[in-house]
Amino acid sequence: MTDLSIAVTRPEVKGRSLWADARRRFMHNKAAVVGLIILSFVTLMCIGAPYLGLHDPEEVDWSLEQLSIPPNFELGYYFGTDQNGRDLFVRTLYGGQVSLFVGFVATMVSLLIGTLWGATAGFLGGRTDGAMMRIVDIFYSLPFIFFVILLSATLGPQARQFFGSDMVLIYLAIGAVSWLDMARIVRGQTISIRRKEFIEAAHASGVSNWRIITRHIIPNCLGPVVVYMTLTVPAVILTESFLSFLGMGVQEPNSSWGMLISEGAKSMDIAPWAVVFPSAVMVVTLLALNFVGDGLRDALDPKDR
Amino acid sequence: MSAPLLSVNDLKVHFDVGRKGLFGGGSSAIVKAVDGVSFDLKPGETLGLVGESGCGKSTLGRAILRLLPLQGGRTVWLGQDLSKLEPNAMRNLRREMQIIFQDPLASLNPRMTVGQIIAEPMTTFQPNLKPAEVKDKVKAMMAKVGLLPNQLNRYPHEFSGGQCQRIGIARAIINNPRLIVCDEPVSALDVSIQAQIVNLLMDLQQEMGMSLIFISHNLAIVRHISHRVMVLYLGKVMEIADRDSLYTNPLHPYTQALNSAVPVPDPDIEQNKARIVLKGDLPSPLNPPSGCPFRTRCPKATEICAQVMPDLVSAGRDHMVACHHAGPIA
Repeated sequence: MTDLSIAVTRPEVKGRSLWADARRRFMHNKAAVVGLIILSFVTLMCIGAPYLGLHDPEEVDWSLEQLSIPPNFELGYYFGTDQNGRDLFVRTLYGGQVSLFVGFVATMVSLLIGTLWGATAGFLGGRTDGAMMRIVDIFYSLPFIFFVILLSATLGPQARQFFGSDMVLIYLAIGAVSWLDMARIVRGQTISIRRKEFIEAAHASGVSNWRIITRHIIPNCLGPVVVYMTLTVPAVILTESFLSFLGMGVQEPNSSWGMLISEGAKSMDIAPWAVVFPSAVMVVTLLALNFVGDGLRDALDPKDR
Repeated sequence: MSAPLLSVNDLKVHFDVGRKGLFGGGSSAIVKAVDGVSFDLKPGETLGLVGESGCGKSTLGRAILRLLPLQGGRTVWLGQDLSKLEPNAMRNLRREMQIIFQDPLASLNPRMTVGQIIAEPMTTFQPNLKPAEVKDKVKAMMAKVGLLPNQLNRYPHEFSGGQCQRIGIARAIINNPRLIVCDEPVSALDVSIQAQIVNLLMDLQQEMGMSLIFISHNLAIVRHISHRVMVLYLGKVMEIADRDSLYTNPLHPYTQALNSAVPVPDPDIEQNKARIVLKGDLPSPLNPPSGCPFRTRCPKATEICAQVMPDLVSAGRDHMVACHHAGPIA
């Protein structure tokens, strides 16, 4: 007790937060770090594709003896060309832009709406909770494909007029569905946290409900949320690919991974590279995402502490 | 006698634990956790609250702070009826009343630094304070409760249980409250730490003049810190008296039994002292006994106890007891 007066003048000690602990654990997980590196590499390549001095993604190379050629490093066609004579490598990168962007946007939407919705429902409880979660149930019970077809049939022309493409509808449709799981997860977390004593302490200190949700509840359910987020991204990318495969997603001349695979599959027996390379890139990316998710789960799981 | 800081009148907290059917049916079951408790608390006074597990001590503490809804009764704070206050007015009053919890670590948000935790009650009421002022005040509070002020950027999990309880105390006193409800603040701590925390609370009370409601199982600690002591059983007050008369001259059979169960740190006396051993367990609060709730385990129970709940009547200066057969140990 006597050294208190000396300690007042001592420099402040830096604390080690739970996040810092988790980061350290994550960095010790080799698979997760490799996943993160691959993911960053793919993302950077996709974003930087226009500046790499590659072929134009829409340019058809008429000088080839046949339009679709296997990988040829001399001509700079690393993945070969598709059946229209366009550079598959560039198209894969540009397609990656769309796929990753859809994944990112839909995940952000799900993060924002899902977290707030779930935390509010779980925190307020009672009738409010019941009503909010029934809305989630109703959204859940909508057949997703039917919902997308309906959207593009009714709003497609308007969307193309306003935004120049109906990609917006895809974001809208995927976003509208992907926050539901997040809301449920956050609600469950919130209910388990809301009876904790530190929430009661905040109440007793006169902290408003909104600040309790944003300062105390949401930061404490972020662990599972971050993990679930890394699992949402691949799920959304797959959904987008699926829609594009069905012809309801991205339209020509744009591309996405799903569309490239769909096109490649048509000429699989004569030009296998057209389906193999886009698929391989997508699989590697999704695998990397899942490794990162696993690593995050291990790093944030309180049971390991 | 000065005017009471807090005056609790016939306070009732009931919980409906019954299952509700989809269409309004279903069984209803009501736990009367606190049932008609009245007492006054003077400024600067410490009221000890003792009783078995499940007798409503913690519920009473939270109900006083209006952290739980009341089913009846009034809590009057400096002449102001709290149950009639608007939520906003109530929130403003919260700077005057605080609570310290049983589990020191669980009462601190694991994602916030100790500095943020301690500052929260203050920044809630004075959102315009400059960060530097907040920091100075927090450091002063940390020094006051015996923590190293340079550790304000650390997180709760980096502290021991006793230190966490000190953090909880610092958070409670930062707004200079007039009342602190201490909900078993030391029962999760090591014995040597218990003494430190209790003495810290007593020192702070002397310095800042706040009232304490001290909830505990531990009769020895309650005796050490309290000016008056209230004994609860199944949500009802059995006996309330100033410390010395309650410990030296308990009039309620339940208080006498509790008192005789306190271990004495001397093996010879401990072996030969007369112990009143109660039979059975605490009755289910869902279905409390008729009349006096204690009659099923009371050595003095007679027929009238099953029929009439005894009133809390005066039995001497500052001594009230609720028993048909109140009297010193035979």
